[in-house]
Amino acid sequence: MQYTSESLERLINEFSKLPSIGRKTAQRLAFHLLKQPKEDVLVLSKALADIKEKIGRCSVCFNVTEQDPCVLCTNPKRDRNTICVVEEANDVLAIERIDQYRGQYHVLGGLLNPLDGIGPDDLKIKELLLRLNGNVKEVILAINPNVSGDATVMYIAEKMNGIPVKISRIARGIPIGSDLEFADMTTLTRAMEGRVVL
Amino acid sequence: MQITQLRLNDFRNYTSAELSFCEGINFIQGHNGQGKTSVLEAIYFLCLSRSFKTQDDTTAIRFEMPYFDIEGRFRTSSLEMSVRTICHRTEGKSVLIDKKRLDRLSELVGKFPSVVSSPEDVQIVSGSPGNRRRWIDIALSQMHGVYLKDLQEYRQALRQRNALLNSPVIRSDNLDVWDKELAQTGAKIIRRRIDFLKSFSGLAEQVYRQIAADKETVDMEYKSSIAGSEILSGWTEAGSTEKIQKIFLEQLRFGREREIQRKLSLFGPHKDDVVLLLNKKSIRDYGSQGQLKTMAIALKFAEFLYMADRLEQKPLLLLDDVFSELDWDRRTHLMNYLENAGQVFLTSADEGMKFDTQKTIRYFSVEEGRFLEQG
Repeated sequence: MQYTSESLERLINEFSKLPSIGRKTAQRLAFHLLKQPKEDVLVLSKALADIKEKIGRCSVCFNVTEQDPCVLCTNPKRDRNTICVVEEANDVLAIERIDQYRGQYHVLGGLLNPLDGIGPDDLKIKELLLRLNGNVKEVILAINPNVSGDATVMYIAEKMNGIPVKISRIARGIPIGSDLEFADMTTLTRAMEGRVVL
Repeated sequence: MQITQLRLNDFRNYTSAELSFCEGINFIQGHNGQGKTSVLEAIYFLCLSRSFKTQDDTTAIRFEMPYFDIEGRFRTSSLEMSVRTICHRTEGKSVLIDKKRLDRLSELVGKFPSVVSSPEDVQIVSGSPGNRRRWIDIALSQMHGVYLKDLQEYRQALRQRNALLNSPVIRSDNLDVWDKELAQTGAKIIRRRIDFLKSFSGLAEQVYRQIAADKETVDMEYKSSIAGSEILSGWTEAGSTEKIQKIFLEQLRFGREREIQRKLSLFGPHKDDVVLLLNKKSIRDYGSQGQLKTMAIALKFAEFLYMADRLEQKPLLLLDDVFSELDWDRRTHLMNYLENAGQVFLTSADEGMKFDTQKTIRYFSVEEGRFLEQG
């Protein structure tokens, strides 16, 4: 096929590189933008440029931020005794959405994964251990329950051995509002293994 | 459980075929190379999304065709379902149950239990350890959904650990956690396999004796790469996964240097074996051709009985060219088993063979990928 505009073709190409966007969606997005007023499109392009120009990593928790340390780390209302450890910055958003947790975070930036060449030094684990000074009383590992997640949890637990800080891992089991009957066997088995005494 | 109808498109030498089966014995006759086994292979494919003939699914696609498309109607005591499997040369395979595509092929395993006995099974008895591991893994996966999941987790941990052993720099604290991960997932696999063999070997002996009409003894020993069999007999009594995990970890610590040298995981269920003993001697080393064949058949019939008991429904029994290998006496003994089986599929090149049975029976004859039902 042949495009009548090189700029349009370039934009479609760029869109289709994004996750979960195919060629057709990329075309629809590009033609949509073409119809929009110039100002609106400039707002979008500035927003795009800003994420690279303004956003960096917090030097304390390694979450994405525009100021260092980030607003979560500097907020005086947040509890300094607890650190919740997550894989990526979007996990922080997920936990913040529930509006229950008022402590600090620590973003590892991945999980142990030798197949992708990711070892302990590629994650912010050393930095986590450095944060475990007198203030911190508990570390909550909110890490996905898969093989890489399990290995990472074990690694951190091993490194925290001897440090007088409580360490816990979030529970895994049956989703709320779902039916036992429809739970897959693995989830149900893990939920049985992780049952709680009443 | 039974399969009532089967449709084949571009599967092996079938361009297009439709068949309906009876609930008892379905006996498929024909000369060699006409497509008898392919019918069993297709049924097995629908049950497990894999072949018992080959590891490469695409070899089942008809010559120069892009994909095969097979479908079967299954009936259990309470419901009817259709299962359709499509396998492309390039795009892989997908399974649809009642027209709904499964997200993961592993969801299929165990839904439609089946046991196949074919001449290739002699490899389980006399071939390399991988054959025995595959046999035991498929049997256990059909009975315990969690086993398959654990196995997949173990394989993931194994791949990760091998990648680490293969990397230029290996930090020992990093390898430590992958040791633990491997031991944690692997111990569950070993535990299940040992438990299975413990309750299974008696049944295998019983079936072997009946087919052979002899008083031979059959034993099965789980030979693990993580510890000698003396320690192993201790576990089977304690039956503790934690204990196995501990021994596994000790072996990994002990063998670490060798593994680093070889850049490979050398210990674990992926290296284990099952030693089959006939009259206390390894049948693989000392068995005659006849004993190997009888053992191969006995294992599958015992597996059938074991599964029927555990699952409280009778798996499909697929018997590929089983009778031709046996003398008349052994055939008669096998036939007795069929009386108590559920739905059975039999192939034979032996034309004109008739059965004396209480079950319903339907005869098919196949010629160059086409069927003639003989009533």
